[in-house]
Amino acid sequence: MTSRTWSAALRSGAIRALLLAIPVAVLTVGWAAARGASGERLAIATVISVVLVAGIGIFVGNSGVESFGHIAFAAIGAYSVAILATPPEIKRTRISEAPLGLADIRLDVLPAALVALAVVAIAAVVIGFVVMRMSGISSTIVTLALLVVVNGVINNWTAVTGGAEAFYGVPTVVTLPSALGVMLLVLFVASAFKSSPWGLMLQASREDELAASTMGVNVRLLRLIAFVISAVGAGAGGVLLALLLGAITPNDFFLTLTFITIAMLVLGGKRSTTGAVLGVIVVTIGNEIFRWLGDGPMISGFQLPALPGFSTLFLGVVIIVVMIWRSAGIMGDREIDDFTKRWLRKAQVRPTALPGSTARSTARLNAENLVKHFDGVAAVDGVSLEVGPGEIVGLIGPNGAGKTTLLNLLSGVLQADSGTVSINGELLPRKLHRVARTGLARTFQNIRLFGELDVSENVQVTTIVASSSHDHLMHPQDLLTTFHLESQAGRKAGVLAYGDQRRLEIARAAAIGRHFVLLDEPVAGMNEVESLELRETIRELNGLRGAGILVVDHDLSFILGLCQRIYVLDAGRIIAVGTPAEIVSNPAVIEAYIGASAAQHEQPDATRGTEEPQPDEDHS
Amino acid sequence: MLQIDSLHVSYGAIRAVRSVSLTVEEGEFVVLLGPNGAGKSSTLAAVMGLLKPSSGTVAFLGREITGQQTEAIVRSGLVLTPEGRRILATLTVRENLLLAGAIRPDRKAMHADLERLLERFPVLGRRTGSAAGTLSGGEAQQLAIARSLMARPKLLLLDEPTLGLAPMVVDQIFEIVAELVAEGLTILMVEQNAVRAIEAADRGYVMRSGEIVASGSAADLGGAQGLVTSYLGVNRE
Repeated sequence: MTSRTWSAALRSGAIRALLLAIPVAVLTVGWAAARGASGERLAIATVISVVLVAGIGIFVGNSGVESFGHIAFAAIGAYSVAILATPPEIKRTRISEAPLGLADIRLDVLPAALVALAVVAIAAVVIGFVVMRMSGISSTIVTLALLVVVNGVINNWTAVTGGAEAFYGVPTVVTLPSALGVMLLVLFVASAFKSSPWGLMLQASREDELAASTMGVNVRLLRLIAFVISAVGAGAGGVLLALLLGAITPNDFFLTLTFITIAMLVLGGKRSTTGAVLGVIVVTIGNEIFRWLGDGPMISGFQLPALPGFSTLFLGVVIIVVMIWRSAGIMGDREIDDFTKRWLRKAQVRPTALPGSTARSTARLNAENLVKHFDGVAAVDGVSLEVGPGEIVGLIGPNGAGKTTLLNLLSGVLQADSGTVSINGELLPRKLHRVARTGLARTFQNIRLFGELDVSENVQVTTIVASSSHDHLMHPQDLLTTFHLESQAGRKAGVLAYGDQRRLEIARAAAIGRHFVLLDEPVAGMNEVESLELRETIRELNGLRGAGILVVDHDLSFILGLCQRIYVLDAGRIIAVGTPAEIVSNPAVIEAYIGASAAQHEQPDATRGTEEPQPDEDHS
Repeated sequence: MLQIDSLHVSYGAIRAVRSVSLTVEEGEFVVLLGPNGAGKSSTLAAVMGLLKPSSGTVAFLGREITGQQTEAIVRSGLVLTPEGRRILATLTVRENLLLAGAIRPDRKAMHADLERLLERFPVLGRRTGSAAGTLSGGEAQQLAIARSLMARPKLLLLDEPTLGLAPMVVDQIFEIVAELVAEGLTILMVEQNAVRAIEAADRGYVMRSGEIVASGSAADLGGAQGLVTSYLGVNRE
């Protein structure tokens, strides 16, 4: 079980960055020593590729949003440093008309580079605000548009950039050690971010944005943060490239570089910093071998034919092969320290839980006259309901009665057309990620776990949010124990058995749902015995801190045996409310929902619910 | 009619189905019960060629079908109504049914079947032009079953047909299944309402942790209550 704290993240980031930098340093220094000046140039270019690719990976890997636009930030960095650091004598021949006296500025390389990175950061904040509002393919297209726009600006803003022709005279000061130093820093930032609480929350949004938001994760803000850090990483690559080449053109930072860096990232595994490094090494070495083959070398007396374009072909074929063999890239999610853990014993960090107050919740959830229309049809039509402190309340009704819509209104996933939801008289916040911070959490009918994160991390997402918003904190490990998941802590949530997934989703909600937990069909697809077990789990959750529970389900025995009070919803309206005994004998409910035959079987005190399941004998 | 022999299915290191053997005779209604994660759906998926078994054989109508394409298996008369219904939400009810009949060469008979099914399931007949995604849960399940019937199955596999449905609608689905059985259709059903399922069926198999641990009629399995107490506890490994 890995703990996501900042101190652990900084340490594991430092270890991982060193473990990755050492082989890269050995390879590149060795190559440079063996091949002289041309070898050194290739070695530095390889190191810069690592900077670019690891930088891009900070955003793409953690957020799951693909970006084709990061090379635009490399371009902005490169041109900024070029304009600031190139000697005025040379600049006056190319951009004498530049505004703000840019042609006469003479900055040392280091301050010029820092200013260039600041320019990149500002550009990233502005663009980030647009990108964060979108998700999926639309944000990807925006990043591609960004690349095209930046390229167009550099090509045509001749007064400042010199246009399409080369901007030359940039001081060529990058050495292999200085490039390696920048690389180490970027690898550290990338590794530490991935292991940090922010990284974890962003990865949660990558797995399921809605679930992350309902657990209190501010997805947009985190995406923006990662986008800016990542852009600065790519910008650093651009700065280095300008200071290596000495002369740059807009098209050095366009589609070719975009394709190669993305290929490296995807090949190595975009979620892994180790993968970024590996992708760069594999592509670079492969490229060199195939370029050599393509030139038509003599091999033991045989003259091979020259095959121009051979190395490009190689890149394409390798990508196709790797994607078929392993679609998450060579490394997938793994990192180099996963393999060296055995030797470098990783200290187990157990974050100390805040001493939580043992006070039981006294919150009351009120819905007043909620109305929600879809395409003119009222899905929820004037519903008022209440969940008192520590109360377990059921919500039943025919398919399509509006139960899930009502739950979406109560949990802030949807906004009502009219009516209010309040906790202790305070209106529910409109921003989804703020709702969870008030102590109200939910689960979903179709289980929305963070599938690629492990069980412990799933729970930690919410304990991290909880730790920043209320005083009552449960330790992730204690939560897993309470919900009988401790033996599964290190497994990916997506591979758990169905019942365990349900329990994990409830545990995750329990971590932040200090006052209320709303459960949407928790026993759907479970048999009689399993639903009895889950009923006990829900009772434990309720007993833990006195959280009020609202549960929607079609399993009547389960609802009747669990709830103190039951609302019946039909066609968007509450048609009955009462104790289990009142509900099963209510003619309107039998007519609309239960059916006469089932009603006879469901006497709340004489159901199979009274028989408790035996402790599981094969519980290993 | 269907004969599964020593079937094994693995997901990576997890062995979901271990040495499962079962048979379904013509005209029978057989249920497959067990806790979640027992391997029931994996067994059905392996029969349909949706999962590749690591070993074992599946024979249908005396012919081995292990490793065949799903499409070929469906053409031979073995049809699955999948868990979660999987209807095509943006197509209309009629289009869903037409698409299922598209594999049949006998166009005329296929269209006749379509009309018959719309009569037999009046909720569908009333909504032929509606997008399938606008149907309620019970209606969508009826569409899923009707869609399977369009392929003229000799053996129908039903995977959790009452999942997420209101009690009254669960009654309806059980009635429809009983009617299909009465008409002579052979059915193998996975169902979580275990007590109800075993009472309705001719025979049942109980799976646990990937293996068949019991089989027989309701009485053989110790009655409904015995079934619950002995076999259906939560499956944890």
